[in-house]
Amino acid sequence: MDFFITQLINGLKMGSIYALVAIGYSMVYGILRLVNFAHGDLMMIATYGAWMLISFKLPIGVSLGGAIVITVIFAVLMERLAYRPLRKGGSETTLMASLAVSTLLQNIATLIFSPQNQAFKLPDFFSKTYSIKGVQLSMMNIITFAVTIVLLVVISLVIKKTRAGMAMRACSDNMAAAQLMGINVNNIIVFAFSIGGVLAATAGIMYSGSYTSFSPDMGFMIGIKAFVAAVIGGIGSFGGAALGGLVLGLLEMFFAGYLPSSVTSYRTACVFLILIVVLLLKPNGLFGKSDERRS
Amino acid sequence: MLKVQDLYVNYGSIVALQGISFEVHKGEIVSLVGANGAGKSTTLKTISGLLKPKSGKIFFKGKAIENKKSYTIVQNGVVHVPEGRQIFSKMTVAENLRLGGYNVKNKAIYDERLEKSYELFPKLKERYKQSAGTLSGGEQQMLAIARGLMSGPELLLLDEPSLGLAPIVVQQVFEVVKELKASGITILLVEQNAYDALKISDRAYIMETGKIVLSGTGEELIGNKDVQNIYLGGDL
Repeated sequence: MDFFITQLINGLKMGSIYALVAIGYSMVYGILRLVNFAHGDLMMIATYGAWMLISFKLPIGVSLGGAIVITVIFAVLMERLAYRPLRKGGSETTLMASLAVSTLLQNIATLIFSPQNQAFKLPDFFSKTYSIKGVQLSMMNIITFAVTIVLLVVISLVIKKTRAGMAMRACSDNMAAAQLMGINVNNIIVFAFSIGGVLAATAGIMYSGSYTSFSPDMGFMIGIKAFVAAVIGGIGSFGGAALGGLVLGLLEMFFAGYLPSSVTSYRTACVFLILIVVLLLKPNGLFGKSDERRS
Repeated sequence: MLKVQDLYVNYGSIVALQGISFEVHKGEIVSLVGANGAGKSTTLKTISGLLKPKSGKIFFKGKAIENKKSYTIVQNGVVHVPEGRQIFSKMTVAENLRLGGYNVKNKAIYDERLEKSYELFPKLKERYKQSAGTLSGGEQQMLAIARGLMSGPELLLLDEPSLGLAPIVVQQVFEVVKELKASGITILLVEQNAYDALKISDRAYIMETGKIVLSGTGEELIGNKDVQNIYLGGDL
């Protein structure tokens, strides 16, 4: 039972990370029909940013806040410099470009820092653990859950209630019509990339804080898995991405915890197996509606 | 009010408009009539900034707008109600109208326009909470027009408002267009339904393969033998 709860906590933690990253994928895809494979690498940028700022002996709040700002700048720059000029070329072109951006970011990080794993150490406060009836619950876990819930609520309110959020939904519903309403579509795209940047940065810092090590390629595989989560949930849907992330994190951790150790090293393969099964049964994802594409 | 001068537009390698010129005066209904592919929708899309011309000028109230972005053209008072309605089908009727008034900052003006839209189209008020995709074709067209009115247009570009609608609804749409004119909005109308369009038009231009081949008042064109044979289905 204790083991079950431990795996549940681990699953929810991983699921929270996937959910935050998946929402960014989903939002950008909803508007641009672009699968931005460089999105996961924003987690890496946030971690390096935080690590550098912390090493400058800045207060922890400033360091983490600064890392989020740096990440948003990168997110906006990749849209501005890579995807916007190529937008007329179609979604295949921008898809390839996103792989290029991803490789570029990883290689720049490798060049400046090193390809090695480095230790990521947050102040001791974060590594406190509580033991409740034999189950270990770390401060980092509590923070991860709390931050994820707050972000999910805030972002969903922004999307539902604010003028910019409504414009974002309009753009993903019908881009040409949104322009005719007097919406500056480029601003809305920048807005979506910024929100995605904030979420990915937060997820990246929390992930590195939990696993205490990081490397230039850390974001890529998590990013791909978060993309899988978005597709499982129904890409383009906010709630779908969040739930898809949680489901994926839980399944992955239970898979890793309960199957014999000879197969657990295939847990990443299991993620893609889940994807294939879901898409066979529900091609639009668990929560996706049939997609009426824009004409 | 609107002056189009020698406008050329390409769609990729296809030449869609080959140097058209026409004018719309304040308070008029002007129609562009012609077969599929004549370039009518292209003309409207270029005026509203969705397409960029290869060459030529578009003046609205004396100002050149051919290189302006769509969202600034809307703010200047030129509103395009696109072909096929293009409503936000996953959003509610109320949200669609809210988006129509996206740049209206003054709450009083916004409320007044919303009130007017509901007055003009009472069905929309009944259904304001419904998602727009669930409306009938006619209601969707009404929503598309109402949404266009929310930004307070001086010139309304209407692209095929009667397309795909039942005959009785088509008549309602043309009634609405006349009412809009009476309320002081200038209208540039694109229609395949040539007879109905010419009947309510002050003036009209006949388009063929990217060129304007004939122009005149609505009545003149209805009386024209060539127009009758080609666009009005023979003898009337």
